[in-house]
Amino acid sequence: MLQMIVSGVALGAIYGLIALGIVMVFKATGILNFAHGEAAMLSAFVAYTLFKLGLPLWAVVPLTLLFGAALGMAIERFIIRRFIGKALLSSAICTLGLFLVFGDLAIWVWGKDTQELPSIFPAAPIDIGGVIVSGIDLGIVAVCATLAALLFAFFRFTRLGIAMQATMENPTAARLMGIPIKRIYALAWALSHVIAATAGLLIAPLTFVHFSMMQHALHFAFAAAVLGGIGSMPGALLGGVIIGVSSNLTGAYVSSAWKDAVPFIVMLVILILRPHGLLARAQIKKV
Amino acid sequence: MRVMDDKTLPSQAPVVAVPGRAAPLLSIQGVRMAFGGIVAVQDVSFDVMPGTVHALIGPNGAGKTTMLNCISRFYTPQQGAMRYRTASGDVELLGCKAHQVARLGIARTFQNLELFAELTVFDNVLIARSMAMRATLVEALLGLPRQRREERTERERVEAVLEGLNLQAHAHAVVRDLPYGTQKLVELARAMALEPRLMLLDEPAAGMNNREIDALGETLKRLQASVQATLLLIEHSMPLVMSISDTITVMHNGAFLAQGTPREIENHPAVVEAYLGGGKSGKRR
Amino acid sequence: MTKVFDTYPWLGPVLFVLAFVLAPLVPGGYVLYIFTLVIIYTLASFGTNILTGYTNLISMAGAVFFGIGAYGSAILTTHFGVPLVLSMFIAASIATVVGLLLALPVLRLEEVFLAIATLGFVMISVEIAKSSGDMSGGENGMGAPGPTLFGWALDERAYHVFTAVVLAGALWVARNLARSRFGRGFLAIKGSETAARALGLNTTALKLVAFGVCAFYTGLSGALYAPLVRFIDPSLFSIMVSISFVSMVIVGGLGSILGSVLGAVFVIGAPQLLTYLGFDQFQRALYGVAMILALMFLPDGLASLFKRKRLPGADAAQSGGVR
Repeated sequence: MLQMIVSGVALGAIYGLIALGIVMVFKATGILNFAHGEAAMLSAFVAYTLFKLGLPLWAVVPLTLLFGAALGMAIERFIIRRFIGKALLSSAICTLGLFLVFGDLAIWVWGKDTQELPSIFPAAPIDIGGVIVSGIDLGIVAVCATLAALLFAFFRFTRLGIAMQATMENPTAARLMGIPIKRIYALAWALSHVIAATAGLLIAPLTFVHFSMMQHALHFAFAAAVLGGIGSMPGALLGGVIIGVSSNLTGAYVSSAWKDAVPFIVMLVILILRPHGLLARAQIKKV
Repeated sequence: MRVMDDKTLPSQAPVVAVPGRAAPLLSIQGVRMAFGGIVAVQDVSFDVMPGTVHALIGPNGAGKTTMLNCISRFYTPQQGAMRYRTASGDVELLGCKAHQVARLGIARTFQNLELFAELTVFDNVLIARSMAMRATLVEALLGLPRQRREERTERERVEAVLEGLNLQAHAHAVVRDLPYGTQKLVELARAMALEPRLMLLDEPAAGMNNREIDALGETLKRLQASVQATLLLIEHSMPLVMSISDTITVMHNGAFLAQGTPREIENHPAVVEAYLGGGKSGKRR
Repeated sequence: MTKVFDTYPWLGPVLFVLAFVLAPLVPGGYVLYIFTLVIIYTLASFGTNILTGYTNLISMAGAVFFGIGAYGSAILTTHFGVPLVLSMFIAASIATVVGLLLALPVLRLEEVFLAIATLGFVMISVEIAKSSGDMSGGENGMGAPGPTLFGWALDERAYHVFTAVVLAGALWVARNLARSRFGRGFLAIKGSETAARALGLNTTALKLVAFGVCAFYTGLSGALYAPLVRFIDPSLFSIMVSISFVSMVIVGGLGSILGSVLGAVFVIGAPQLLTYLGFDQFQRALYGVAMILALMFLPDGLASLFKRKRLPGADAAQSGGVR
């Protein structure tokens, strides 16, 4: 059972990471990015291509992250920007459209075959206090934890991070204080896509690189984001872990058929009890 | 399924006369409203007497709009009571939801205008008449006679309301395209269409010039006289406040400061110091 | 000639509908099938429009109602011998009840949560469909009998007219709804939920009504779909189906009846065009691009190309008291 929990935590960390990217963009620009998973998928394919071209893994990773950042900035600049501040419906449908486009784009460029991308971590199982943990799972958790810590430090201690938080809280005030909010928006999207690329790289060894590799994970990531409270980044990570673990445990002890549905049931139950998710605070609308 | 309640419109229900001292229509007692660490309204109490024009004034940030939002139940105060007198007894507003407040006969306008921007003036006001329509969903879906009859009746009512405020020329204009002053009148028309016993007006004169303010004052007086409505209005325009109010309550920093007739408030030392300009020219705008 | 259309403003839509319904009866076969499919999808498009176009609620649960309608009518006719018309309405009613039950807990959620929660419903319903083997054929799906009316089997042409009649009835009801305080209430919620509440509208109840109506129309659409395609499986409960419903109203035009029709024409017709041109594997990208372009450049959808957009509330206001 501990085994299941640990691998659930690893998987959940990835879901949480994807959820984190979604929440970041939602907080910064008020947009629900349905295409986030597909961006991760594209990044994974780019990594695969670079790898096939002969580049060593330690070079593939930064280049892929760079691709992620570029993709995020391009999306924000050319498509999303006009929807910032407008009703949620338009921008959400727009990202839904991107989701569809990216999916077919991947098929067009790379075809429908499944490809392999090795993990940067050794796959060998490691014994920790009696529990056998795969090296990959351990690596995933390590990377996610490090990334979370870096992000925390960024938002807490750097001027840019604080400026971004300010923009998230109150864009008008931020603008009046001289914060270049357009650049913050671009930064938020770039950063969230770097996170997406990381998630893609981490999950690739588990799911293999494939045009529908992220669909499953994306749904879970949404559930995680909502579970944690869509306005809370740590909440997204927490939500991811909860979902990863509960999904694994259900698969092992209840029935594998319901493994995929359980995260949503959990999410719905939590939403009914706490309509703003676990960690977010209720917003009172000013009239 | 019934979406609207099957209750008589409050304006049609007779108000029982209480022998001896007149009872307040709305009694605010010890209301406290805080957002996290910020206390916007602090132990505020005052009474609004029926059939009066009652102004709520004070500097920006005094908590006046918050108070209105508590009464109309968009906010829930942490402490206090808000008793409202109806024909069938006193109602504690805290037990009501926002949409039930309107059914008790309390209408309000908003400081920042909450009009249905993409709809016409006519439709904005017609929506206010929804409460008066009793036809059920099924009757509506099938276009049955009662539905059609009520539509006709209420449309006529809307025309009457629009005429009362001289808005009939704009009836089929989309609200979004209208000038600000006209939009404010539409918001007022909408509130009036509810046939309320108590109207909560949040800065109805904001953005108006002197001529418009005078006209507004006359309209409000006329309104109050014709339907015996009680008005509780937040206003910064002192000329308007002084000319039409029967009672003025002054708030400052979330707390009750003073209450009295316009003459009394005009010369009240604490009010003058906090709000009206320290004794020099007490006129604002 | 346009004067005729001004004097009788209903003439244009009626002629359009007649042409639309009658024209494909001539060639028959695949063309007829496509047109029948468009009519069926228009029904779902109405439902989605009421929820999203009028009330401004995002729901990704369309596939759930469609699937319930399809499975419902198929199971009722196959296993219980219920005649088509009755099973259609029963299936749509089941979809409505499910819709209301699902909507209850999630209505109070903010927009973004609603969108994701409804996504969750689709995910859960797929599992349910796959695991209820006996009745529904489980993962492999089930066959649905062809349409019959009072014991007479309907051929493709007759069924086409049948669906058109159902659509006409649905259109009439939708129009009544739009011109009532309920339809205006939906628009009020879209315009300003705060003001709606301040005017005494029970916005939660209204949203439930919108959900229910959407579920009914979408369920009815699914119930008509099963006898047409004769075979259904759990793939009906997919996100893509929900997305196609939403894209119908976005591309066609939110809040307008013409928009609903155009949206259905787009969603059914465009992939056909793609297949004809040899690009059929890019159907999803086509939807995506169309949605993005529509949102960026034609926010009122294709319908805005044909007429000045009028929400039926405004229409009614203009004609009120004159007729």
